[in-house]
Amino acid sequence: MMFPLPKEDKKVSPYFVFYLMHAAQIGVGILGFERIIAQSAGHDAWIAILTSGASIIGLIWVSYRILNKGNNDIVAIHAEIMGKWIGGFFSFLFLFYYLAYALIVLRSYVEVLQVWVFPEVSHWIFLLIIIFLSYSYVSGGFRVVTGLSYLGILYGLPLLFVKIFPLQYADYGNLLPILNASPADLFKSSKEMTLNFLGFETLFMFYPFIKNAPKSEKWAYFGVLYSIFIYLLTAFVTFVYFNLEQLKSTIWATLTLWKIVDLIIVERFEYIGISIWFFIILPNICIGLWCASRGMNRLFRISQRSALRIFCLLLFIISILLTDRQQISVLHDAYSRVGFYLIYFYLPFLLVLQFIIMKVKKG
Amino acid sequence: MKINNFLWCTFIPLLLAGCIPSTKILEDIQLVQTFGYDYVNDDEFEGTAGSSNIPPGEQSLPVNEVFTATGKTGKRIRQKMQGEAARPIVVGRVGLVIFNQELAEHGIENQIDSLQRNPSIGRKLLLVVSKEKAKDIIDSNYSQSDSVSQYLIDVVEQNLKQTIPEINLHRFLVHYYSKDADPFLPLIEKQGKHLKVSGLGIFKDDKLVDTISFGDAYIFKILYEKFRRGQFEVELSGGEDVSLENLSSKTKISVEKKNGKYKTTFKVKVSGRAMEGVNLDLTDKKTIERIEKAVEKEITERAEKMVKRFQELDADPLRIGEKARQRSDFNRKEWKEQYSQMEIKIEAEVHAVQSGIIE
Repeated sequence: MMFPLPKEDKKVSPYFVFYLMHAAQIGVGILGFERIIAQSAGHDAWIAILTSGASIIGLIWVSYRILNKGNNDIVAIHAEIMGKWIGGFFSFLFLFYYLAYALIVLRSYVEVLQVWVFPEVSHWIFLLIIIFLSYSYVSGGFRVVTGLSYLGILYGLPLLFVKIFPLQYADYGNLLPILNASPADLFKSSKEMTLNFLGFETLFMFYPFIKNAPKSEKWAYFGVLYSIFIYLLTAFVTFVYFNLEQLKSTIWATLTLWKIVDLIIVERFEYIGISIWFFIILPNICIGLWCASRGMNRLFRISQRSALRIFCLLLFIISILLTDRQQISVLHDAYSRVGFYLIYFYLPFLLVLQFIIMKVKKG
Repeated sequence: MKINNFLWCTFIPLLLAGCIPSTKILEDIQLVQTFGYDYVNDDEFEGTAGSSNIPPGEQSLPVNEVFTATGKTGKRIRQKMQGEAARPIVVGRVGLVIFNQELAEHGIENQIDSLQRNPSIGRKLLLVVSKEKAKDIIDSNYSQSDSVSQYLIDVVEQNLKQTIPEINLHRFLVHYYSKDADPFLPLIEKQGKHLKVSGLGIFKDDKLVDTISFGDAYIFKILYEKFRRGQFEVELSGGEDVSLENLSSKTKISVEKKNGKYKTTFKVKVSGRAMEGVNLDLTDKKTIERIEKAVEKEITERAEKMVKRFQELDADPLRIGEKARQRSDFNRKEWKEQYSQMEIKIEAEVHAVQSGIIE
């Protein structure tokens, strides 16, 4: 067999998909997504979170149909459907998509660090530290990455309680009138929101690493539901706290919310919040890097560790070259456009293609 | 491989040890607590930073240090101040910002922008407008305190709870950005060796357009937000003074739209205990009713007068527009046209109980 399945002792239990799914979806986007979705739909944008969340659940259903049938990762499925060369080419594109995912999270987080905490430290230092740390986790294998996702969610929980502080200044009238946005605005807003759910495509790479993988489907749904809940809660607090015009000029609304937090021993909660946030974005980078290096290992005859080293170096070089906000936002737009077409058009297309080709092969 | 990893883990942190950003030790920095802006001319303004220093020694009291500089931008001013300071100036703990009235009349957009842009400035920051020069307020001695900055912050903070609406940088920004409301700020002035809060400054966009007195600021607070623990004094028809204490109030603003015409009603509900009625029988039900009527009349009249004034100025610090916006048939253009002539009704309902520990 060209693409052997991983050994049993490298796999994780099905319920870990909950953590992996959720950890992959919540990244740096949540620090400032409110402004983007409110730009078209205003305070009604919370509806967009629900609609785009629902569409993601549908897409996960599609993903599981593809994966259950192929019973392997995307590289093997591509090879099976489109043959060695064309399939290999598409898988290769997938690798870079995963790498871009890690890159975006990494670079955006470092940008936040620079603006909010350490304006006088140049970015390569943070990049070096984070990439080195990610390297040491990813080289520990998939089980370590899974454990990291679990811890990331656990460490992030206290940040939910902090939402109580801005609620003291809440003006619930902000949400009125409900359903004032036109369907077109809501659609636009849901489209923007979808990008915050990106990350679940990593499932296509780690699927074979789950014990009794078809059983994990419900955990994937739970993971997404939890993400929807987190996004809804965050958006709700932000919308009642900020005036709409004010929100539109705030780059990181969730971060700015923390400015009102008043703890006895801490004057600036943002510093603590941003530090805790590191444990939420670290799994993102690790999952992205793991997927990319694993794919490299499947496509070419090189070990995953050497692939990982190459990618880490690549990640370091590219993120050093991205120096200002403009470049980061260009990269972000490009990535989200690719992601959008990938999940809404390519995945269903792949499902249909797989169905037809399997039928033909059988016949 | 194991050893290799171990070496990496040791060496990289060692290499990065030199990259620690400069640490900020409290004794080695100049922590600014209050900041003041004064008007110089249309291009320039004067900035004053007030901070306190505790000199070494067991019994030593804090010494006030004030820095002043003039410039076109906040950055330039800070740079100039740094020039005369012995230690690096840090703004992370600014608690109060004072705008001089003259500057506020010319607009405070630049200053607000730089305050909200700076990540190290909190959102609980207090903003006030001063009658005197902000520099004179920061750079003087008050009878009650060791640290001037702390005294200024305490006076304003205490008043925000009791007599004027609670407003900080966050609230100000919410009003400032809103298309359907205008901001307001507390007004302070110096009186001898004291500082006092003397009313409210009403803004239209970023410019100060009017000020209201301390007594009216209280009416404003009743209309603006729900609160408990207050005090209100009225004169009865017979000429006796009565005060209503432990006041709690709640106001509901409702905006109606009929045939394209807006109409606003303030429903004010106040309850409290009648105290200190000289020569009055506070156990008598009739007297209590008289007091209730008098307070109702007083609140309604003064509130109506104040709201009229806001309409004349075309400013909306009570955020009636925000309430109107929450209607699904809201039309901003119509609202803007009608606001200054719109009918605004005040309905006050006062409930008083007799009180005191003697009968």
